[in-house]
Amino acid sequence: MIEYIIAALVCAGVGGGVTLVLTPLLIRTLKARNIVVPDAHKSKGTTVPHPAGPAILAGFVAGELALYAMFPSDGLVAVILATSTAFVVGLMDDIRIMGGWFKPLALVAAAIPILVIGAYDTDLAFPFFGIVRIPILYMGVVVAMMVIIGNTLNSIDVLNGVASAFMVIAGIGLAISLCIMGRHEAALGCVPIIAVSLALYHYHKNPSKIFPGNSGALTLGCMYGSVAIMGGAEVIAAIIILPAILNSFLFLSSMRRVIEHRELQARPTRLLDDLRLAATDDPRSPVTLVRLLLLSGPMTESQITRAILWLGVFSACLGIATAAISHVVNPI
Amino acid sequence: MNHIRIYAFVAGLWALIIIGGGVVTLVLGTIHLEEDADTPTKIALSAVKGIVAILLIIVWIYILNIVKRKIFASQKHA
Repeated sequence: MIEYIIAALVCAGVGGGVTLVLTPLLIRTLKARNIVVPDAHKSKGTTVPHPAGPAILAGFVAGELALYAMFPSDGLVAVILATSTAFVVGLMDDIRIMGGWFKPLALVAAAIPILVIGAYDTDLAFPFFGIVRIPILYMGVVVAMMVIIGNTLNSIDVLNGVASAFMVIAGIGLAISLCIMGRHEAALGCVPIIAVSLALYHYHKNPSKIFPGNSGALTLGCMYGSVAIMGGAEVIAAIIILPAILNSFLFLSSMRRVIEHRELQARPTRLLDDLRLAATDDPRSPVTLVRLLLLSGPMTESQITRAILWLGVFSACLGIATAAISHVVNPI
Repeated sequence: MNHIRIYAFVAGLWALIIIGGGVVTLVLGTIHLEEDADTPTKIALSAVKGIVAILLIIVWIYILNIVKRKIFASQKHA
């Protein structure tokens, strides 16, 4: 057990440390080159540098490589390659604005390293009921996981600090679940996710000094998805990020097509004079988690962020409880 | 602030995942082929399982849409 604790501390220190050091350098570089975007929920003219993707990826890869040095496995190599591919996809969208279908389609490439290296189990574990052996179909599950989780995390990156703090909660939830399931080495793979997200949160919290951008959000999502696949905890991982899945579902079911936020005809929220956010009544605007939360009345950005994060804590508890009950009822 | 319905929605999503998993495990999971079954038969069975899984997802989305409309309407009038 002591070797796991040491490994966790080392890869957390390396991963979190790299992101913590690189992010301010990246902020300065992006500001100097005027690579900034407006913060839609602040007073007019407020801009924030983006993307933080390079600092996120560097921290994650450094953390996972530190882990690899102590516990070498093909799974970790697959996780690093899959996450790096997602980063490239996101960076392409950051540099050159792509259409709505680009990210869902291009993220299929992030599944390729996992499939080629074979860093997955062909049995899909369903909580309470046991496993289903789907050797051929499971390849589709891997692709779907990477595409859905990557884009889902990207879709909740709408307020200062939400995506990074949500990933801290999700990473902790997944790590605890994997420990309960007895998959300690996969649980260690979550440590860089938590550390990097926590380091990013330091700069991303309200008021944000940097935004993750597509490269950052897709990197965060795909590192979570690939570690979940490596640990054989796909369904538990989906339960833990249910608020993000709910947000994507609400968005897609109201718009009835894949569309980028920038292509929306009407925004789901409007900024009041006192800088609080209110839900819009415009029928052309999408239904989102933020809009649903605002139906009970206007809120500040920090209040909405807290509400989303409490939902994240709730779903993480659901995931952990599911893993614990499954382990007792139907140990795999 | 009344966000209890959104928590109920998340809990509902969780219940649907668990129920869907039960159907997949107890129904689809019990369908097996003999060890010496040929590859086309294995692929055909996988395709059938895949189609059933997709149908389950469609039912899942349909139920969620109904729940979403009810929550959205009730929150709007709250």
